Amino acid sequence: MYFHFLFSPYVYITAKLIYNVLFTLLLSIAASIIFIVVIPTHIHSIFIFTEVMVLGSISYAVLFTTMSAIALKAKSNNTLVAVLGFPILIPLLIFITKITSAALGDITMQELVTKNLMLLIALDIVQIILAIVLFPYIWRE
Amino acid sequence: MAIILLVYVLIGGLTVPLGPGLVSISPIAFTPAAENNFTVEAANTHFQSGKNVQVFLKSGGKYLCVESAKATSETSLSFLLPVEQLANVDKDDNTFDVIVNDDADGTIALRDALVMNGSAPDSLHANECVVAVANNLHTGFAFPYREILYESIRNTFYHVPMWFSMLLVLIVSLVYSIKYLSSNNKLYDIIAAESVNVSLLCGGLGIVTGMMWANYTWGSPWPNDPKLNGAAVGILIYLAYIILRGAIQDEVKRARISAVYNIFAIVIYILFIFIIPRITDSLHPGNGGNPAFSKYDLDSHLRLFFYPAVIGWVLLFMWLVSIRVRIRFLEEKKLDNE
Repeated sequence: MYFHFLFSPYVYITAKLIYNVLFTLLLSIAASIIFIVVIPTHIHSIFIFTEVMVLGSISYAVLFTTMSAIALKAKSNNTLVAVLGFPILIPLLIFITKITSAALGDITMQELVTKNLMLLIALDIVQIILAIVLFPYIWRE
Repeated sequence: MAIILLVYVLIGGLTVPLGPGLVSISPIAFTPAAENNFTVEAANTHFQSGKNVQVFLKSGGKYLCVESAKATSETSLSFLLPVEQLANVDKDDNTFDVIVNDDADGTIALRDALVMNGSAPDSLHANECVVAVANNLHTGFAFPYREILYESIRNTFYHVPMWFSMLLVLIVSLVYSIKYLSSNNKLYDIIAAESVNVSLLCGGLGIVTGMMWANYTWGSPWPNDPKLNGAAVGILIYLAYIILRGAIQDEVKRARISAVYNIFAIVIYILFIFIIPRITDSLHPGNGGNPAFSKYDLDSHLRLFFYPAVIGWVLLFMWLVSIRVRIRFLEEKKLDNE
């Protein structure tokens, strides 16, 4: 609560988001390196793969930052994060799995890649804007 | 007002008969022989009382005339296909549409009804089959006859308006959540919360009516369709909203946080209901390359009941919201006085 006097909520949520996005990105890079080493995989398009990794990490981190802010203010245990986050996470998972399978060379998905990528970008932007705009209302005691 | 409209829809929706249509033909496959004999079964037709019953086959844009078309009852008839007529169609075409025309029922057709096994003999000569009748439409007052839908087309008046009203009630909820955040008025919070409750009722009824419909038209109550799963998850999102409200004790905090969650939720809900089914394949009309149903499925007789049904259901659910809001508001007032 000390932070209330130091920063505006916008600064605070932006910093939180940046930290969480970088952290998730680091985790997913580490995970994909381990996967590629352990399971021999041929990545069809490295460009799409990186793109979806970055975008996916962004929206994943933004979503869970907001949801845990809500759950923290609800003074409830961690199950509330899962209950709130899970249904909202599903469209994200649908987009990410589709694009990733295309990046790994699934022919049937190729034509849908741009559409799904655009939607993922749009979802990212909407989520970031909502998180930043709505955070002050959550934060204020 | 809503009640009057809904009673009108209920009576009209159940009493107006279904229009005529062809059900089946037997045999469905034939080999070119000297004469092939077929019988056609139909529904809601008037072959015997209607005059000028004519039967044609159509393949690849060309017509075939048949002989001795005869009505055996109001809903069935038989005809002969002389083998010479097969000279009128191209060699590669081996499926045929059956078209029946009479004065009482207009022109009705069954697409790709017949399959020909093997090819017709080469040395055939036939006069061009001239089709004299224009496409005349059914004149009586009835709902359109659709293959696989049959009588269940009446469900359009209940299933579709449910989802329309759910979306509208949720938009009301979104508007009042935003209004709450900018004004901190307790009444707005009550309206937003009760709208979500009522929208869950609409969603539940929409899913039940949809499952009954799917059971008859798609063969199972829950085919693995992106729109169905999306609707189910959309309802989950709003159940989570109710859980969130239950988890917070402090009233002001509960109102503020649930309003924030509500704004997040509507974005994902719209994504589920409208965007994901459109980019993947869905069985619903208007999705995944299927034509939207207003294009040809809704004819003017159906519209006469469909639009009042939509307005009636929306008004009914809005009325429900306003009653629940008033009850909650009075309860809060009573609590404050005590």
